[in-house]
Amino acid sequence: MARAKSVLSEARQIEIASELILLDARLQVLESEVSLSRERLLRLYREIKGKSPPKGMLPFSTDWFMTWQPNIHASLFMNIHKHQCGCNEPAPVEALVRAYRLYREQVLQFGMPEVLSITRAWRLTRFFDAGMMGMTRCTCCQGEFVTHSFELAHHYVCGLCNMPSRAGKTRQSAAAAASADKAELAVALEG
Amino acid sequence: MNQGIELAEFVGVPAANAPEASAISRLNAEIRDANLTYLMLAQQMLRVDRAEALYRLGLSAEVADIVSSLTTAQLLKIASTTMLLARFRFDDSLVWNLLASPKRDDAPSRMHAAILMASRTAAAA
Repeated sequence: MARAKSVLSEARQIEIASELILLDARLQVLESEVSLSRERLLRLYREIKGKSPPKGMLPFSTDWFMTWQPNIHASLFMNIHKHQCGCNEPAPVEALVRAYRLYREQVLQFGMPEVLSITRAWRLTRFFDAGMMGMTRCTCCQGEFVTHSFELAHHYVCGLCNMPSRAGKTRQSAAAAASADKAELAVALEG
Repeated sequence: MNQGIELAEFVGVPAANAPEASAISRLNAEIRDANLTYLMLAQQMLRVDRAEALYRLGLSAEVADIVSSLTTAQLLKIASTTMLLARFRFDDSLVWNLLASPKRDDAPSRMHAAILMASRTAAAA
C-alpha cells in the first residue's frame, strides 16, 4: 500500500488503526490494512493498549470456519459484510470495521461470546478475496452460509437446519453453565 | 326518537355512530405517530452512520438519500396518511417461527434468525 502523503489522510489512517486496535486486532491486520509504518503502529498500539502487541503467527486455517459454532458466527459476519460492501464503501477496511461492530453488537445482545475475533474476521474476508471460501445457500432455509469454494450446492444443508447432536456444547459453555448454577445455589442458600 | 337524541346530547353521551368515528380517528392518529417516529428515527440513524443505518433499516441507498433530505414540514406531511409507511422486512414464516421459538435454550434459533435476516438484507441490497 502506498504511504500516506497528506497530513489529513494520515490522520484518517491513524483513526482507522486505533479503531482496529480497540477491536483487538493483531498487528498483522494493521500492517496490511493501514498505510502507516510498523514503528508508528507499534507506538500507537502501546499507547492505546498499554502493552506490547502479542507475537506469533496468525490463525491460518480455513477448516476452523467449518466447525459448527465458528461457522455460524462466520456466516452472520459475512452476511453483514456483504451488505456493507454493497453500500459503496470507499475502503474495504471501513466495511470490515463496520461489519465487525454490527456482528459483535448482535452477538453480545444474544448473550453469546464473540467467537469470531476481528483478526479471524479479517482473515475470513481475505479467504473470500482469494477465492478459497465462498457462500453457499442452504437448500432448507435459503440462508447463505460460509463454506469452502465449490461446495456441492445441490444438497447443502446448513448446520442450523441439521444440528449435530452435541452442537455448541463446548467445555467453555459447560463451565459457564456450572458457574451460573453455583451462583444460583449461593443466592438460594443466602435467601 | 328525536327527543332521545336531544337528551343524549344534553347529558354528554355521543351520538350512536360517534364511538366508531372516534376509534378510527384515534387509530389514524396512532398511525401518524408511528410513521413520524419511524421517519425521524430513520433520519437520525442515517445522519449518524449511513452504511450502518442502511443495514439496520434495510433501505435502498436511493430511498435513504430521499429520507435523509426531508425537512420537518415534509416529514409531518408524509406521516399523516392512513397507511403505515414501515412494513415487515421479513415476510417469511420461517424467520418468524425462529424468532418466536418457545424453546428454553433458544440461542441457536435466534442466531439462525439473525443469519437469515442478514442474508436476506444482503441479497436485497
